Amino acid sequence: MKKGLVISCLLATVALLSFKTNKIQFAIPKGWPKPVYDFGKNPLSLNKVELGRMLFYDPVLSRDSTTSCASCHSPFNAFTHVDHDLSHGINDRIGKRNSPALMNLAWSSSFMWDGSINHLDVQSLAPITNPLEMDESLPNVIRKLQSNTRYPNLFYKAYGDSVITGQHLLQALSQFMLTLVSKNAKYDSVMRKQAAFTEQESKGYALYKQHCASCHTEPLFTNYSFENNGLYVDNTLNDSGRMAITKLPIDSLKFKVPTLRNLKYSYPYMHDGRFKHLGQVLNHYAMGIQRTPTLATQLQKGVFMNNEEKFYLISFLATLNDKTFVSNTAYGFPKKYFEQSEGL
Amino acid sequence: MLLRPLLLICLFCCAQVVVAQHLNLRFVPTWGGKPVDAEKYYKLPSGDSLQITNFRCYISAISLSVNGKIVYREPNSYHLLDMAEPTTLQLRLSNIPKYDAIHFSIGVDSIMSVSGAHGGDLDPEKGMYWAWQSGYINFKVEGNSNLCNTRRNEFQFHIGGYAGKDNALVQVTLRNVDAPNAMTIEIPLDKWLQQIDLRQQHTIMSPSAEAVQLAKQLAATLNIQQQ
Repeated sequence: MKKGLVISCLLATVALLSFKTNKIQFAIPKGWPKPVYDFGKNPLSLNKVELGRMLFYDPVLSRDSTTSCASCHSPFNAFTHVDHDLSHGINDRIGKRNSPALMNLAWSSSFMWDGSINHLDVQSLAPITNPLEMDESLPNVIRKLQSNTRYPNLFYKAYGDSVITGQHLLQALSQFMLTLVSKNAKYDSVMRKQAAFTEQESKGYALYKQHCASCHTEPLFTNYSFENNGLYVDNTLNDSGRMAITKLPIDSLKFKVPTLRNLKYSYPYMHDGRFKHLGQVLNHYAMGIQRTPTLATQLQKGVFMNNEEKFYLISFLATLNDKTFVSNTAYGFPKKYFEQSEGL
Repeated sequence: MLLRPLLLICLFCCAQVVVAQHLNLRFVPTWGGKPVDAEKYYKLPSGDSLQITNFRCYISAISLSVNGKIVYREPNSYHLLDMAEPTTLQLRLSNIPKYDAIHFSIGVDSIMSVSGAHGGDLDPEKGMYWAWQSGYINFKVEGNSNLCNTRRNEFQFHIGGYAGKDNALVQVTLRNVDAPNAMTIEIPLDKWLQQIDLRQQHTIMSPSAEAVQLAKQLAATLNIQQQ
């Protein structure tokens, strides 16, 4: 009787411990704000992150099994699609906006260029179901995964249940994306007092603070607001931005302020990928601003910079490139899962 | 050793006393007072006809009251009704006190609409969640009519929206003085659809003032079916 009790206690402890060791604590970099994402409702675990990573790289999420999340969000490009102004989906269908770079998503209060998505967990639904992207339905993805040889087991490992649900699928994708934290650029080392800016970078930092910081706020280099930064309207797209969601005229031509981190890897720039080089972006702010009623107040007076100043600013922006982020193998293609597979 | 069964019997008796009653709730989408048949064509007063192929609807925040005072709130109260799956139309409330009115919402509240992916009836895989702009679809009515100048004469009402002026969550209160243990709530889709000019209005698939209006109109038609 006693022996049985002792054994069952031991077993319970072992089970509890193994469950605990699987847990991951989300680390908030020093000096950064509290994340917006509620980890209490979707606590990170190694198995869930691994499941999410596999799903992220698996084209099975698309209707014809050709396009994965990583197709437009490649790790080498800070999780965006380099060289494509507009993202493209299955059968080379072209979307209407530039795919955003994915990083530091735990701090983001809305998603998409127009903020149409209000929570990271439901973000993946949009590209999965958009006819111009993966053109698939959630119930069909679940059917495919459920009949797959590997996924029921991976879901069991992650959730203790091999029956795949939409909630578990979406939350696992969130878990992987939440781990994509870029915090090791030179800028971060300087802030941690482990490195120093060069003279050019210091001058650039001062210019950044003067001209850019009110929207591209440190340390995430965005304030997550929606602003009209004075781009002329591309009449092949006629994209009104945030107004399409809120229906408010004051939101006309406003788009989410993107982060300035990892610009080296994530070109082209702007919601429609119209600028290939940072120089073009700075020229836009210096000379190209269109005065429409919803133009950001910060840009009303114009941003005057000479060539020297532009050079300094670009030097500073380069300190926001995080090589460890784009080369982190923990974020990369999960080879070990796909190796045994037939189709890939 | 004898104590244990005795204790169990005691507990069982107590439970019997505490479990005052239950309520079997049944929701029925109807046309002319009869359950809607998805195969059937219904005549409109104008002589035109229509078919209702799909009706799905969230019922949430069910509560009971006596003299206007809430005496019971169903925990985790989110139910997806689907005309095509009769078992989803039956709900059971257990351990309820005496009551004289029932309250519930049609749709999903804003808190659940902004807090990520949920499970059970709220799982986005149920097809009642907008992918391109976050938020639940509170109810769907789909079908076809010769009045609709659309592909295959289809009408599609996907009514939802949780924010600001476009909040389409609507509350229903039904008084039922007899407080029985079984109640059938009629959703008279004939009354609702006849308020809509299907020639003009046949496709709503995003939050809008029109959607809010249609949600209010649906809420106003619900009634307790007299036995």
